[in-house]
Amino acid sequence: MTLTLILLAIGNTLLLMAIRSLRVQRLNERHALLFAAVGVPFLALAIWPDAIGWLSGRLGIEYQTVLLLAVTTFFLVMNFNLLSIVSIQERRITSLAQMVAIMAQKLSPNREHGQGRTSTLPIERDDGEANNKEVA
Amino acid sequence: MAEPALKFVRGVVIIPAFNEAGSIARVVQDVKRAVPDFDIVVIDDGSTDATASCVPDWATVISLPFNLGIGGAMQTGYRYAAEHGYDVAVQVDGDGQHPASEIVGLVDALHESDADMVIGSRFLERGRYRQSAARAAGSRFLRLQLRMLTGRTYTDCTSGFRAVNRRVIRAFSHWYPDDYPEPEVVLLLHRWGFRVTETSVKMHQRVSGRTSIPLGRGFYYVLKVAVALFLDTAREPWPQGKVGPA
Repeated sequence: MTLTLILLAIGNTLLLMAIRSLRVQRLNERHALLFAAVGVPFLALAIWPDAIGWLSGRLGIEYQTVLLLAVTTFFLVMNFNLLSIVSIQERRITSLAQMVAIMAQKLSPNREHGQGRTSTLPIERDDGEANNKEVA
Repeated sequence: MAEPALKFVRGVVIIPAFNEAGSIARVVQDVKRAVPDFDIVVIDDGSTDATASCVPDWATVISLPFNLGIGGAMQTGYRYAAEHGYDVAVQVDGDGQHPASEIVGLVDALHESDADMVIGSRFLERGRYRQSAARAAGSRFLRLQLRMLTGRTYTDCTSGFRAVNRRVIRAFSHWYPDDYPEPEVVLLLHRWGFRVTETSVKMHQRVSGRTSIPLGRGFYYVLKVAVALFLDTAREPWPQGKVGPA
């Protein structure tokens, strides 16, 4: 009974956090859904506490091994999802940086058909050092 | 004797530079002397030294807001070339390794061979360029892998001294590999039906700055590129469908 209550509490908290983040627009739908998916297994285990035992019996694998596989699979799927998002964002940031640099060159005052120098505003680098460029 | 091809084309020389303050001015001036009719665009890839201010005023400088790496910098150049409708783009390193005097030969080879990209090869003629045993082994490995994947031999797939035509400029403006892109570019172009060929060039040792691939990272470079080449065989070269087959 205690275990069921703990699992229900964890599952519901995660789901509520996902819904709240979605409401205040801190997370977009896709990511909120991913986060909500973390809560669902807890709720499922609260409703059916012996689910892992049943699965290990069906597969003929040790209880602990099934548990380990389930947790590992879950984290791998989560990781894959997050890395996919990071890769897409990285490419978009690259594309934006390129477009900004080209636009800044176009707006350069002494630009005359393929000539002129330009600069983007100083940007704080990861290492905290300001990346200052010459301004036209 | 036929007129040099570069008299009939609108060309741009793209020079990616990261902390090349010591060499960039000389490189740009050499290029201007070699191909005075071509425009020159220097891509300052988030340098922390005075690279941008060392470029002569008559050349174009595009300063990236932060360091994107060689792939991101080169693609910036190709985006610029595509936007301005150039017929030919030549990529030349900002470290002084690529002699400007060879650009004419590269563009002529592009014109005469009817290829879409011409690679300036250090190894097409034996004994023209010497490199360390470790680097030679890495290059050989990548050459063999590319041969396996394309059925063709590229003697210098890691050379960044290249000339491309308008179609490839357009393709590269949409998609260009990130890290260590040279061998990947060859495979992607080959898979998409573009014609890639080589012409013999001589190359200098670096004037200044640091090599983009220090010897210690050579092993990682070969491993990363080898894996990337295999992965490239499984994916669309230009995933957004913006560039049609050649």
